[in-house]
Amino acid sequence: MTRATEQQQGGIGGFVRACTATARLEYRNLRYYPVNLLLTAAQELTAVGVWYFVARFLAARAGEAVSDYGGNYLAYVVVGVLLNQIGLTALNSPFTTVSEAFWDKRLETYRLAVHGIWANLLGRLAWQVGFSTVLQGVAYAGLLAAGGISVAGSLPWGVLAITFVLFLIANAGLGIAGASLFFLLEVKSGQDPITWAYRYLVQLASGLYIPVALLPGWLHAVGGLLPQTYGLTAVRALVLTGAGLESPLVQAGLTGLTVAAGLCGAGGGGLFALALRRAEGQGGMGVVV
Amino acid sequence: MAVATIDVAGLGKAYRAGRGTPVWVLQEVTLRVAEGTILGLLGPNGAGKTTLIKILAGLLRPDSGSGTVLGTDLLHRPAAIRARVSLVAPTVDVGLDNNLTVLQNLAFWAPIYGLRGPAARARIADVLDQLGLSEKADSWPMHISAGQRQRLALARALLARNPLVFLDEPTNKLDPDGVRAVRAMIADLNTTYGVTVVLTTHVMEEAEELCGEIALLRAGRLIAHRPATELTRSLGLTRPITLTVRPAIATGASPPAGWQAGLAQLPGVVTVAPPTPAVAPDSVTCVAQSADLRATMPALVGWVRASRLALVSVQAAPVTLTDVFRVLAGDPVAGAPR
Repeated sequence: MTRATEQQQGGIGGFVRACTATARLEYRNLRYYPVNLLLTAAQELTAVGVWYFVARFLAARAGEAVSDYGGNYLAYVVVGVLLNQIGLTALNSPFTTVSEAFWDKRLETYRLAVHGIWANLLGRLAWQVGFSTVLQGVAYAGLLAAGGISVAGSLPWGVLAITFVLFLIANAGLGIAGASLFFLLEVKSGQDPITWAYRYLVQLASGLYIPVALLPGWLHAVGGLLPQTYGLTAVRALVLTGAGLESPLVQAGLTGLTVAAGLCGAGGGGLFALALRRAEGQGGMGVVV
Repeated sequence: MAVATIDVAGLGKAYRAGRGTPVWVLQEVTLRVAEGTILGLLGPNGAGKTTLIKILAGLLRPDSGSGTVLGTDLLHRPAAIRARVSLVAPTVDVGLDNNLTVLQNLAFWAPIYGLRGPAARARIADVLDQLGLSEKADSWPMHISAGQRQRLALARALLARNPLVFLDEPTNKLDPDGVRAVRAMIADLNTTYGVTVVLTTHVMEEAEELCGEIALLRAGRLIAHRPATELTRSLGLTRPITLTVRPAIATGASPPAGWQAGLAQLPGVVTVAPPTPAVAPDSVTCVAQSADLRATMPALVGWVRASRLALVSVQAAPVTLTDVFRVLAGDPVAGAPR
């Protein structure tokens, strides 16, 4: 008799393969319905299209307010909106993933696999962020061709990449914290309060559309709590002025972003683990409460 | 003594609806299941079977009790248990994606379970073949029957060849061919790979066919756990023997009155009902209740001869799990034949 004593393979390699499988599934599900793929792309690009249009009217008078970033308000807004769209994808993905897995009755199945739930969470996140990044990159290239915006002559790619990764970790961490409310607060549909509130705070206080310097002091304090504030500051300085690590804007942005990524990443992960344990201690993950 | 795959004591689980009083759906469950056993977990709806399975699989934390599953502490290392057990839920479509073919569904889950490359492909081909799904490999889940989707869910769970498998009503909604295929696979898992199986079912015939041990749950409490054969004998349940006889030498008359008195003296016979005329000429039918068919039947044959009677027919059925279930679980609906 051959004893069934296998143990599911753990380790980084197994985790990456599991993440890749869930990322591919997300892609295939979109590809299966091409219209959905097109609509998703259109939705991703709508915000930057609208703000490119709006900012063109404001650009002539608002340039001075963004002189630290090269003085081009249109480029300031476009870079911010593009980056924020990618951040929002990372922010929203975890709750949607958990919610869909729950309602599709897959969550317990994932839980029984050694990497299941986390692989599903991060694999889908990777695909969605990758897809969004490509789309926003294409949009930026298109808008560059359309005119009115610019990019620095030489970009510090290494610093830019680190900033981008930290920005994603911070947003994904907040998103995962939001997803944990699926169990902690029994938010079973719609949008969780963390990501919902964060989206509006970002619009209000992060300098997404209006430079932080123009905001009242109390909003500065609010903005200081948002990872987006630091991410937008650093990326705009890097992309629009070509500044490197020596730039105070980049230093401030990168420092804040590092702290935010650490806190949000660890906090989100810890909260989600707590949420799973709470679900297991109560009705489980397959029960509608 | 064989190694215990499941060894738990005093397990309990309470569910809370809002701020209401907790409702205990499982109480004081103590269970020891040896490696290589197929355990049938029976009980009426709401008895706590699924809750118990989820606790043993590490998906739910018990509110009382403790123990080990696969030698791993149930309370402190549930993740290590989850990584070594498979569970098939009774709901069709669990874990399936309608945008992937049957084969693609399994190919998706293989890396999630840590399988890769040729080993993954071989395992997928193996489970498809065993569950009779090879011909449906390129079909979409929505284009196959509910029974085939249930088998696909089973195939998905069995990709990981874990030493402990929980099957929650695995033949629910299957047609006869599907039932046979799944039962054969369960038996094969157990005999070929030594997999310990915990199976919930409402089909007593299935439990009798597959399970070496039976555990009965009622209202969240384990009311019996014994080898299946022992359980059917242990309650002293009686079964009817329907006997039709006529005089050994045709006389044109029925057997004389009082002939059945000797029947009541046979071993195992508890009561004998008054005889009634039978359809066959000169014959009468009598129903005796036996508590031990194995003892009664040989003695009955000898008694018929000694009484100078001819046996027209005799019908008897042993005590089944259905009878046991009806008595212990108090559920007259359970055990309906399929």
